[in-house]
Order: sequence, then structure tokens, then C-alpha cells
Amino acid sequence: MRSVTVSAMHSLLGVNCEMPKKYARILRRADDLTKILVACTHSALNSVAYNENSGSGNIGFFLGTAFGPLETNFRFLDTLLDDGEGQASPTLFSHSVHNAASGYLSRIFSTTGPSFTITSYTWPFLLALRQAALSIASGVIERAIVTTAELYSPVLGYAGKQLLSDECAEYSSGAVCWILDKTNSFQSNCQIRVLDVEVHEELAEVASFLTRVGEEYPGCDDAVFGKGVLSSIFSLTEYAHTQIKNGESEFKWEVSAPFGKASVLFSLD
Amino acid sequence: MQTKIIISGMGCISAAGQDVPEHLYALQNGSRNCQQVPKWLFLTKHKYPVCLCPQNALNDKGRDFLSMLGTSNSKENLSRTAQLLVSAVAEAVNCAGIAATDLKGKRLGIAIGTTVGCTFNDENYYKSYRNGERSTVKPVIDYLNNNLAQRLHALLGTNGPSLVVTNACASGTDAIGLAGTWLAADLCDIVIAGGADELSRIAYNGFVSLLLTDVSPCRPFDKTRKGLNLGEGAGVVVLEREDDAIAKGGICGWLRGYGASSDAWHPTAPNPEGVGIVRAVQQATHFTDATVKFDLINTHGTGTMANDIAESNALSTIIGHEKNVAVVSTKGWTGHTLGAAGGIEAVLTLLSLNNQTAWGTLGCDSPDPDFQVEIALQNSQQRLTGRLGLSQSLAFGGCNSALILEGCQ
Repeated sequence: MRSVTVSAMHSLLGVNCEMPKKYARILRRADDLTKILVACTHSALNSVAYNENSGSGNIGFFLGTAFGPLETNFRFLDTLLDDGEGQASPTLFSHSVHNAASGYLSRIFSTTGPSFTITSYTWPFLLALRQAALSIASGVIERAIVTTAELYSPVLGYAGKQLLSDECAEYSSGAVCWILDKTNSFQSNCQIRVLDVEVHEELAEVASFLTRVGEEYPGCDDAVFGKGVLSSIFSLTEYAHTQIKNGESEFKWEVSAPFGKASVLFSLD
Repeated sequence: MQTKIIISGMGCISAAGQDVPEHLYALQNGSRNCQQVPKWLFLTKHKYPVCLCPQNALNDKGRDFLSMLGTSNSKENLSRTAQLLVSAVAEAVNCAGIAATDLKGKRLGIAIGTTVGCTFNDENYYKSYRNGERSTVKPVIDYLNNNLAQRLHALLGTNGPSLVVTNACASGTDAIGLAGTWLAADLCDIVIAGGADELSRIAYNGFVSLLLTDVSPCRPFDKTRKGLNLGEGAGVVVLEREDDAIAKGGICGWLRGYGASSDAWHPTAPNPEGVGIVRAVQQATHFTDATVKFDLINTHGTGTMANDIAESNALSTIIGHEKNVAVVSTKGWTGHTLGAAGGIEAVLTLLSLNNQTAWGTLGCDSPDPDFQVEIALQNSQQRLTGRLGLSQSLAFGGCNSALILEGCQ
């Protein structure tokens, strides 16, 4: 894999986010998943050279998510069950589609390049990161906005307790956004490169996708990052920032779990 | 694509047939399979017809495939979408002349597009939860157990790159395109790529609520069109690099180019000028190594007012005043199969190219006079003199994607 520059890495833990007023109208019908993605992406793009009026076709969006707008799916189902077939909400349905957020992201940030939503219960952000790096390396795009987001679903939380009895904690909500650039094509303030992303998925008890029991990675701390699909990626982002401060020239972040293992190899510029 | 990528196998299941030969028969005979929603699928008061696969979604080929693999995963643990996928994969792998068991140990990638196939649709479990009633957690286990790419790897006993693309109606097209990038980057040597989707009550009511469905069989590009018919199915291709292909079944065609773009316009409706799909096609032609002159364009052609006019506007840019291009929609045969559409339509595009025939758009008798390009009419047949086809998809969220395919006749 050819290296790509990481120009920004931002995390948003939880669902409370500061949203620029200029997005209020366009987001008035958006669900919480879309809103936290927009907020996180806005923060990331604010830290790099970017003009949202430029309408670039050279920028691609890559969203990796395990459960997507699952709660919006249930809200739509509520209207079906409570109000009947003739009264189901079209707004909720259109927002329950897995790639609904990508439509908002490309409109708000005026990007007309490719946009992909990828689904996996293991490490969807890392799969999105790998694909984004490939797209930059192939010359299709010069910049990739790589994101992930999850919202806690009480329904899945309930299922988690059924699977693990009451030991299953509420999984983390939030979003992460990294900006990848073709090296030297954009100004950046991050000075770090991704050299390789490897993901190996294996068959495992599916409960572990939900409970993340047995998942291990550097800085693994339930108290800080909670438990869930996002936790390892929050930790990865913080780990990378720390290694940059420490001036480590090359470092590898690894995660392992009953359902496989993955790693990201970095180098400093 | 600078790396030459062959399509060494293909498989397809939809309302039009249980395999590729049955789809060819349906195309040749203009036979439509559109029906009211049967009770075995779900109960509904709506009368919008759908295009369905048989109740038993795992066909004979699929069952034999699982048997050959000696898998302990019984059919009951596979979602309906996964069963449709296995049925199509079984045909595609067989078509490629590869024994299912030979894939173990190969650097195999799997890229599948879907929409319904990745959502949690078990209404009974959700109803119990809402009512505070205890119920079996099996629906959640099944939901977590049916990530299509991971599940297929598990069935095959393989371990390579895997991706499930959930780009709504462009998912299948994107999965095939992204699979091509894996081969070019040497992430793997062979890829099973395409799309699969089942019909669910949630998706059905969703599209009805958006006023996008027709109470009659759909009429893509027709001036009287009123909307789409939903469908289900799976369409899959086997891709390899031409230089080191292992398949012994011959070549079905080549993947010559892929492009994708965003409209940045609206959550569900396409840009009315079709600028997004034009951009996707331009990207596909920019990166192709073929001299691009399309002989066949398999449109997204859903039969909705917005999609068909947007595509017509886009096509006037893509092909200009070129006369000898057959422009068709195949959704009259299959319905709109959502995440499966791109995969199924890639197979149908190759079928047309390899038979040097474009079968006119089922349901289109009188094209909308506002259209900028000529649409091949129902019951017409056009001889194709070249080998290059374009299969394009437009999706919710403003995603557009396009594949350039070359036939082998």
C-alpha cells in the first residue's frame, strides 16, 4: 500500500456536539448520527486547508459503521406499528438508509467525489481507512474524509444484556474523522503518514461483536473510551496523537479480538 | 483500469430467473414476473406489485454448493439475503470452472453490496422489546451473523479482504468497482463481487411512503410511468487479473472501468440534470484503457419521474448525438432490487453484450417526449456490433456509480 498523509484526526465522544449555526437549516430533519458526523467532520476540516465552496470532485467520503442509523430504522418502524401502513414516515425512512449521512456530508461540504458507506461489525473504520488509502493511491481522489460513527441503541443494549446477562455495558456513541491526503498535495498540520492498514476478520461468537469482550488494544480503558465498536478507534486516534508528540519515527497500532486482528502502521514525516 | 481484469464467472437470481440461462430466456421472451406481495413474505394492505424470487431463496445450485463445502452452517442460520447471495455465488464460481473447495487457500476477496441485508428487520423482536416482553435473542444473533462478506468467507473457509458496501441502490455497482481496485493493488488474486438484497416490509413501506412505487408493472422511461416495483435477488461476478487468472471456465468479459461520484444535492432525489452520473461515467472512462464508444447502456431506469428524466439528461451528455447506442433499462424484468441491482445489472449487461443483442426496455412503449436520447422500446431487439457496455446506478444519498464492461463476443 502506498503511504498517505494524515492531515487531521478528530474524535467526538458522546452525542453532544457543537454545531455551527450555518448548518442548522440543512440539518433540521437529520438524525443524531448524521449530526455527530457533520460536527466531527467540520472540526477535522477546520484544522486543514479547505474551502467548502470549492465543490471539489477530488475529495471522497468513506464512512465505516457497524450499526448505521439503526435507531432511525426503529423510529420508522414505530410509525409503521403505531400509525399503520398508510402513515409511515417518509422522512424517517429516507434517513434510515445506511448511507443517508453521506448525502448530507457531500452537500454540506460541497464534495462531488465518490462517497462510500461500508458496514462491518469488526472494525469498520479501519476498512474505510484502507479503502480510502487505496483510492488516493490509485489517483481517483487526492483527499479522503474517513469517518465512523455509532449511536447507542437501547434495543441492541437490551440484546447485549440477553447475551451476556447484565454485565453488558452501554456501548459508546460518537464519531471519529480523519483527513487523508495524497502526500504533498494539501497543507496539513499533522505530519504523519499511514504506511499500511491490515484487517483480518475471523469467525467468532457473534456476541463479541456487540460486547467487545476480549478486544485488546493499546490504551484500552473502558473508563475513558467506554466499550463498543468505536472504543478502539477513539484509542487509536489518541495513541497516534501521543506518538506524534513523543516524536516516534515509526510505530504500529494493533488490535486483537475473538473476531480477528488489525493493525495500522504509521511513520512521521 | 490499467490492470486488465477479467470476469471469469457470473451468477444471478431474481424474479426473472434462478440462474443466468433463465435470465437470458426472460430477456428473449419479454416475460415479466410481477405479483402482489404474497402472505408468506409479509402481510400488507398495499397493492403495489413486487418482483420476487421463490419462497425458497436457496436454489438447487446453492444447496449443492453448501453441500460441497460440507458446511455445518445450516440454511436456517442464513438470512434470506444471504441465501440469495449463495445461490448466485454458486453459479458464478461454477461458471468460472473453480471448485468451491479450491477457493480455500487462495487470496480471495469478497465485496458485496446490500441495503436491506445489513439492517435489523425483525419486527417481532422489536415489538416484544417495546412491550417489555422477554423473547429469544436469536433474531439479534442472526443479524450479527449475516454480514454478507464475512459470512461468505466463513462458508468458504477463506480469509481475505472483505467489504460490505451499503450505498443504497449503487451498492452492487460500487462493490464490483471497489473489487477491481483490490486486484489492481494486489490485495488479493480473485474476488467475488456483486450485490444481494431481499424484500422486507420495512423497505416496501418506506418506498410507498416516499410515493415512489407504481400500482402497475413499472414502465421505465415511458411517458406514463408512475414509479418503480421493488424486487429482490443477487447478482455476482468473479473477477481476476488477466495475467494470473486461475479460472478454467473461460472468460465472460472484462471490467474496463469504474467511476463514482456524489450529487451533493438531495437526500433521495437525483440532481435533475444528472450531473452526478455524468461525473461518474467520466471518471470511469478517464481511468479505462479501452477506447470508449458504448454500444449498450444499461441504465438505472427505475420508472420514477425523477430518476428517468435525470438519467435522460445525463445520457445526452454521455453519448451526445450518437445514434447506434442501445439504451435500455432491465428493471421491467427484475424490479428494483436495491443493493442487488448493480450486481444483477452487470450480469445482464454482459449477457446482452455476449449475445450481441439489446432487448428493449420492458414497459416502455411511448418514451417521454422530454427525453434527450432514444430509448430501446419494449419488444424491440437491436443487434450490437461492438462489445462495450455501460452499467450505471443512481442512489439515495446522491451516490452515482458506473461500470464499463466489455463482452467477449
